[in-house]
Formats: sequence, C-alpha cells, structure tokens
Amino acid sequence: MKWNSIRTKILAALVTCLVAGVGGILALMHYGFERNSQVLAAESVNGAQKLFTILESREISKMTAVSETLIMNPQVRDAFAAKDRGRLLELTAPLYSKLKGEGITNWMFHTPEPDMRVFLRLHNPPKFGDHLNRFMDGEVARTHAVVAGNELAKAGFAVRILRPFYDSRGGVTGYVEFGEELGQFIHAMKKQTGDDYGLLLSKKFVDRQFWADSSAMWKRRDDWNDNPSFVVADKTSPDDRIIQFQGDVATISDQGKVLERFREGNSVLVRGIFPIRDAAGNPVGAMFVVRDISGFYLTMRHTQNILVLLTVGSLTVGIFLVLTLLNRLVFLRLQRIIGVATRVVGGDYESEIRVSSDDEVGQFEQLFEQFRRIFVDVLSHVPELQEKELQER
Amino acid sequence: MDVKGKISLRSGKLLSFITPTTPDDPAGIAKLKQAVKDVLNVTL
Repeated sequence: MKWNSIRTKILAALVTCLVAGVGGILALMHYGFERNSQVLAAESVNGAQKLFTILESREISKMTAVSETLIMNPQVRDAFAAKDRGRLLELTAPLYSKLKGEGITNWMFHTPEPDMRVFLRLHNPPKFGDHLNRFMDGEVARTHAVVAGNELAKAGFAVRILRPFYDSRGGVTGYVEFGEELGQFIHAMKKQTGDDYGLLLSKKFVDRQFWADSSAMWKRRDDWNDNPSFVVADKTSPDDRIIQFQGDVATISDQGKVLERFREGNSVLVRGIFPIRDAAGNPVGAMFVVRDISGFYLTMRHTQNILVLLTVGSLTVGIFLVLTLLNRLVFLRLQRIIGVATRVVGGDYESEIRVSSDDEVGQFEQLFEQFRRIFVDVLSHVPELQEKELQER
Repeated sequence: MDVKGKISLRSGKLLSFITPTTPDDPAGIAKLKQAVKDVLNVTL
C-alpha cells in the first residue's frame, strides 16, 4: 500500500469518517438512551404520584359522600345534638362495620368549638374526651365547611375529611370525621400496578411515644430506631432495600425524585420517592416506589443495538461502494492510460487508449489518445530525419 | 515494450532511437544505467 496514493488518502479519510460517525452515533445513542431512561424513571415516579393523588381524591369524595348521607339521618343528628354517646354508637356502629370493609378506618365525632374534644371514636369507642388540636380541627372550626387532607393523628397518618354537623335548626352541634389510613393506599396501588411502595413518616412530625403506642395498637413492630430521620409506616415488599434513603424528607421536591436505577436478575428497576404533605402543607411523609421498567428498558436497549449494527453496516457498505466506484471509474482507467503511455514510449506505437466514457477521466483518455497519435506521428519521422542528418554529414 | 518504456521514461531517453551510430554521451549513459537499476534492479 502506497501511503501517498490518492486511494490510501481517500481510504484513510473514509475510515476516519466511519470511526468518527460510529463514535458520534454511539455517543448520541448512549446519551439518548440515558436520557430516555431518566425520563422513564421520572415518569414512573410521577405516575405513582398521580395514582396516589387519584386514589386520595377518590377516597375523599367517597368519605364526603358518606358524611353527606350521615348528616341527613335525623336519628344520628338528634343523638349527636343530645350528646347521647351510647345512642350515637348504637346507631353508627353497624354502618362503621360496613365502612371498614370499604377502607374507612377512622370515624370520629367531635364536640363544637371552643372545647372541641373527641366525643366518640367508632374505631376505639372507650377512648374519648381528648383534645386533638390538629390543623384540620382549627380549619373546620374557622370555616364551618368540609376540610380534607392528610393528617397525622394518634391512629396514624390518614387522609381525612372533617365537616360540621348540624341540628334540626341549623346550629353546629359538632363535627364528624372520616379517615383512611394512607398505609392501606400502598396496598391498593400495588394491586393496581404491581409496583412496590413504602410509606414513611418524618420523625420531625411524629412523637416517639405516639409511635410506640400506635405500633402497639396496630400490632406492628416499633421501627423507630431503624432509620435516623424517618419511620416506616407500611411497605408492600418484605425487602428493606425499597426504603433506603439518606436525607431529609423536607428536601424532596414536590415532583418527586428518582433515587436509583438498578438490576435484579434479569429485571431493571427504578426506585424513587415523592413527598406527602399534610393538610397544613408540611412535608410529613414520603412514598417510595419501585417500578419494574424491564419491558421499556430492554426494548430501548434492543432498538439501540439494532441501530448501532445498522449504522456500522451501512457505513461500511458505503465505504466499500465509494472505494469500488473510485477504483473502477478513476484508478483502473488511470492505470490503463499509464500502461499504454509506457508501452508507446517503449516503442509499441500500436497501443491505443480506449475511451471508455465521456466523463472527466474519459475526456482525459481522449486527450491522451490524441497526444499519443501526434507523438507516434512525430516519432515515425524521426528515423527519416536521422538518416538525412547522417547523409548531410 | 512495457520495460523498454519504463526505462525510457525513467532515463528521459527514447531507447528506440538509440542506435550503434548514436554518439556516446556520458551523462545520458549514467541516466540509463540508473533507470535500469531502478526498473530491473540490475547493475550494468
């Protein structure tokens, strides 16, 4: 191989283009793949957050509808107005059994402000008369309208609705509250999506004694010392890997955060977290989500591999075609011209240059053939001239 | 004719026109020797 030949230079340029092109495409694909993976991971977290919001709204609507029906019941209304706890329990206990089956775990009646104590807990009837002093209590007393949101209380972290209860003359006789444990949301979400979830509460908003008491009440292990900044209210997977998190719940953005993408066997999983705020807007908890993105991920990887193979293949074929065309259209024809010129100079005056085309090289062949004829004509007279010169001497 | 042509092109002398009567030219002969060496790798 001649290093200074046009063929070598073109080959080197094409190989450089091939390497640069393939390298660039690989880099671009890698970037695109990583970007898509990030978007997919973010979408997974976002999807879980949306599902949680939908479930939350649906349950709020359900509890609001139940409360609407309840305040229309004259017997319940009168029993509560008369502050007849026994009668109220007797009237509502059968309904509570049914509502528990629908997910409503907490049901309370509160006396009106300014005292505002718990008058009756359907989920724990012997316990009453205590003050809760929560944000929602203040809000419902201030607005006398339905207040909904997440609130930490002695029975746990629940989505609640609180509304005023009126007597037959329209006076506020107190408030009724329904609540659903957020912990049970994650099991419903798991059923719908197949993903794993974990619900955590920031220790900043949870009292140590309250957590010990509620753990005992809900017959769950007291996990207070497991993590420095949060406690795990519930999770759908026995694997603790789902709840690995360093940092403060308050620092998680409202859009959520992708924590990691990892492999487990043949599966590719994304783990993320999004905050859960209480009715007052405090970031009291967060939800972990682990989604299996193997289907999308492996399809993207497969597509990427095919694209790389196609790119390398097509560029290689392209280089081969360019070199073949150059060889046939330029280099071989130049080689033939050189061969004919050499033979003519060597004395073979009959060698002719065959004009094979009217392209650029063909024009050169034609020009060279004309030169050759003139050259042969001139040479044919040289011996005659030499003879004459000798005779003159 | 190919070899003859190559030597002619290398030396700048048309071998077809060199005859016994061609006058000796030391510079031309040196060029021809070098051309033969280059083309055929033969030292004259």
